[in-house]
Parts: sequence; structure tokens; C-alpha cells
Amino acid sequence: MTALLYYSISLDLTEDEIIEIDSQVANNREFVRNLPSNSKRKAKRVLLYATFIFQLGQPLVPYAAAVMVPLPTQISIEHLVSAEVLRSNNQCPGIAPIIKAKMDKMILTDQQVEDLNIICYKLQKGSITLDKAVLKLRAGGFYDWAALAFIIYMFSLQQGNSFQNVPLPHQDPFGWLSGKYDSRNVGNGQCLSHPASRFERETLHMAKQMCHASADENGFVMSYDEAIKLLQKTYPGSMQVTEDFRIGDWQAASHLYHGNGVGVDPESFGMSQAELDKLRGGFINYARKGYKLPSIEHVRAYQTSLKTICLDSTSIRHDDAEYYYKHGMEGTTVFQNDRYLVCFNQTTGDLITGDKQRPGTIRKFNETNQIGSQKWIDKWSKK
Amino acid sequence: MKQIKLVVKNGSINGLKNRMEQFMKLIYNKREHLELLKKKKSGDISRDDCQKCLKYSALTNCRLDWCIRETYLELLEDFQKGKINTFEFCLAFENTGKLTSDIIDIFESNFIILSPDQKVLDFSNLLEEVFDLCQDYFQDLEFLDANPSSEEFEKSKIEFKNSLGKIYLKIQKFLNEE
Repeated sequence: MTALLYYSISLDLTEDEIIEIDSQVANNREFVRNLPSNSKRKAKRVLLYATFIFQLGQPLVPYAAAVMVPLPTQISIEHLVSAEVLRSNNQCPGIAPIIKAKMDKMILTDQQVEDLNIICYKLQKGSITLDKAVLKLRAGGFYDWAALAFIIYMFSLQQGNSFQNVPLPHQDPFGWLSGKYDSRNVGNGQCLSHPASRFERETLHMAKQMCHASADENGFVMSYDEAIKLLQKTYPGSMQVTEDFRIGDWQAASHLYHGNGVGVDPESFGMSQAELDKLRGGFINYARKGYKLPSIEHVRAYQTSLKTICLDSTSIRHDDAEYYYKHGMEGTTVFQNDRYLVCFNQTTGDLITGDKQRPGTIRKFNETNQIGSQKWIDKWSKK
Repeated sequence: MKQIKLVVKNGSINGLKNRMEQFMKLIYNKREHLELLKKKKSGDISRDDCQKCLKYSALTNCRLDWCIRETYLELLEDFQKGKINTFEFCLAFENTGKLTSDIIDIFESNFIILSPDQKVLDFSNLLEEVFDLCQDYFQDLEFLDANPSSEEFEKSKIEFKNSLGKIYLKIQKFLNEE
């Protein structure tokens, strides 16, 4: 199961992060392999104990909210592994240097405990993603085992209890029949005592990704209405650009494949351009197929990039532009900076599109103030 | 690699060539383009000059599109032969277009300027028709996403294929006449 969880986590990590984790996992394995057999058991105890500590230390666990036990401020490895074992480790040349040098005491300072609680709180509330939480943990000076225990703990929340033989969704047809994995029972809060957090939606989405066996002949793992509800909940807000214009989260997310053109590297947010290109088949379809939803941080980065283009003093604002498409023409305000165009619908104030354009498109726009294919320009400009 | 058959018609070829050169002089000034690029690099460029520079860049981009025409033609052939579907074709075609734009940026930042002519402009206009088709197809998908209809989806694909077939014939004819 750990391997599966590790795989699921690694789907959302960048290549560098995966390599870093792999190397550290390899180091840890080497350490355990070189221990005497009784020490292996004790090393496992360290991991299990750490997991237990984290389970106790999590203040916002829905099913344990009544029992709030804070994390201990200091955990000594000597409580878990005898001094003889530690000494024998020092004599063993195969042990990784990092263990010998610093692991005689594992200490969580008050500040770290506070940081951890804040991270867990934000994760539960949905203001940061699971990936970001793990990265924050690693960046915050926590030891590897703490981060690993945290990951296992978070997945134990998803599956109820990671140390019991709980079937995964695709192995659990009765669960599907009973509606256990139905997003209406998980994502919208009807069956829960607390509102759905982004973490729940993400774990739901991750569960969906593991459940290709349940997809219909079109590859859909959820209904049209379910997908709309999921997207509405995941992308509820907007970023105001000017008094008249704004960039909705949904609109920005659905056009995120343009992000790379305006300097938003998808790899920084755990996604590839190939994944984002699937958005071009339609955002609702994308969600229905259970593809990975872009994080809100990724969406914010795209919105911010577009906003910066609009507000740049060297940008040119065209208030008399026209946007042509299959169903007619819309009065459009276009902010242009070099080859970047950000277009807004003048009636609704919403974003139409924002991207770096080909020089040919820019040339045509500058000559005509029109955006859209010639076919629709010819059709609608005559009327 | 596609073999491009060039047919040179005797007679008024020299006169035609002269007229083309005169036309290009009217719309493109390489020396001015270089000066504008230098201004742009130094950051001291007016809005009008910036727009003019973009216009020139579009013309040089046409030359690059012409240079890599075999890539475009291969994509068109692959689609006609059914090796790639509509979605894959549109994505690949757009990405190729963006790639040439990025290459032009790199060239221009190093003051390398390709020379456009009427022939490459004509070819580029045909490519623009394909870019328009791809844009329309993606717009259709976006619209169908909010208003699902399998009939409309199939109709959109058939329309795309028919329209692209016509443009492909025009491109072949153009290249044969070159």
C-alpha cells in the first residue's frame, strides 16, 4: 500500500522532487538493511511510533476532534532504540553518514510543532494542497521520517485506517454500489459534519484517478452534474483586474494550457503541458474523465500573470476591439503588451482569453482590431 | 520527406519578380527592422515603433514558416491519411506555429533577420487558414463542453475535415506552381 501511496503522491511531484525523495528513501533503506535484524524491528518501531505521534498530534481529525493531544515537543530516539544499538551503528561502516552525524536525538521544537499544526490546519481547511504541505514540511527542517509519517497519516485519513486491510476503491465494487465513493457523499458535505475542504475534493479526485475500472465507455468517471459541482467548488472565486474586468477561477483554470505562454511553468505546480493540453477538449469533460485538476495556486499564478500584463504601464488598451466566434461578435477590451493579448468581454467583464500570440495574429489584430477566425469575421461583420 | 515540385513558367517571370520586389519594399524595410530591434532591446522604444516592429516580425515569421513547410505538410498528410485525429492535428499544428514564433524571438534577440518575400507571405496566408480552422475546432469543443451534443461533435469533425481538405488542395496547388 505504501508503494501505491508513494506512487500516487509522486504523480503530483516534479521530477527533481521525486529524485530527491527516491534518493532519501534509498538512503533510509540502506540504513535499515545494514542494521542487525533486531535493529530492523526497532527501526520499524520508530516509523510506527512517529506515525502514531502524528495521528495523535493532528488537531483537526474529524473523527478524533474531541481528543486533542498536542505533539510532544521533544522525541528522543533513545526512548525507542537502545544505546547499545546506537553504539553498534557507529561501528558499522555501511551506515549512511546522515544517521551517524545527527540522528542521536530527534527534536521537534515548539516552533516546529506550531508550524506543523498550522500546515495541517491549512490542509484541512483547503487553503494549501497536499503537495504544498509536504514541501513545506520538508522545507521547514523536519526530519525525513516525520515527513514520511505525515504522508502516511494523511492517506490514512483518506482510507480510514491505513494499517488495516481496507480495499482500494477499484477493488471495492460494493463500495461503489453503496455510494461510498459517490462525490455527493464526500465532496458536497451533505453526509459530513463539516464543509468539504479542498483536501477532501483532491483526495476524492485522486480516488477517481485510481478507479479507471469504474469509467463508462466514454472514459467518464462522474456525471456531468457532478463534474460541474466539483469545478464550482474547486474554482469558486475570481481575481479583479480593473474596475470593469475580472478573471474567474473557473475561466482561468479552463484556459490554463495558455499559462506556459505567459511564463507560468506547469511543472512548478506538478503538472505537465501535455496534461494541461487535455483541457482543450473541454473543462467539464476533463473533470468527468477524472484527470488531475490544476491547483488553485496554479490558477492564481496564471491570473496574476495576466493581471500584470493588463496593468503594465507599457501595455496598450484597446477598448474598441471585436471578438468573433461561431455564435456572433462580442465587444472586447484587449490589453496588449508586445505579443501578449488579454481579452475581456465588455458585457460580462469576464476573461475571454490570455496568451502569447503568434506574430501573424498580432499583425492581423493591429490592422483590424478584430480577433477570431476569418470565417466568423466574414460572417458576422457583414450583418 | 515531401518532394516539392517546382514549376517555373517562362515569359513574364522577370517582370513578375520585379513587381514582387517593389511590393516587398513597400511593406518591409530590413534596415528599419534592425534599428527597431536594437531600440527594443535597449528598452527605449515608442508604442508606434513597437507595433511596427511586431509587424515586421510577422513578416519574417512567414519566412520561417516557409523554411519548415515540410513539417506542416507532414502534419497535413498524417491527418489526411488518418494517422492522427483532429484533436492531435490541431494541437500539433498550433504548437508548430508557436514554436516558429519562439524561434523568431531568439533570432531577433540576436539580430538575425530572415528576409520575407511575396511567395512566403502567400504560403503563410494559407497556413493562417489552417490556424483559423484549428482555433474554430477548439472553440467548438469548448462550446460543446457546456452544451454536450454528440451530433454536433461529429458535425464539427466532419466540417473540419472537409475544410482542411480544401485548404490542403490549395497548398498543394500553390507549391506545385512555385
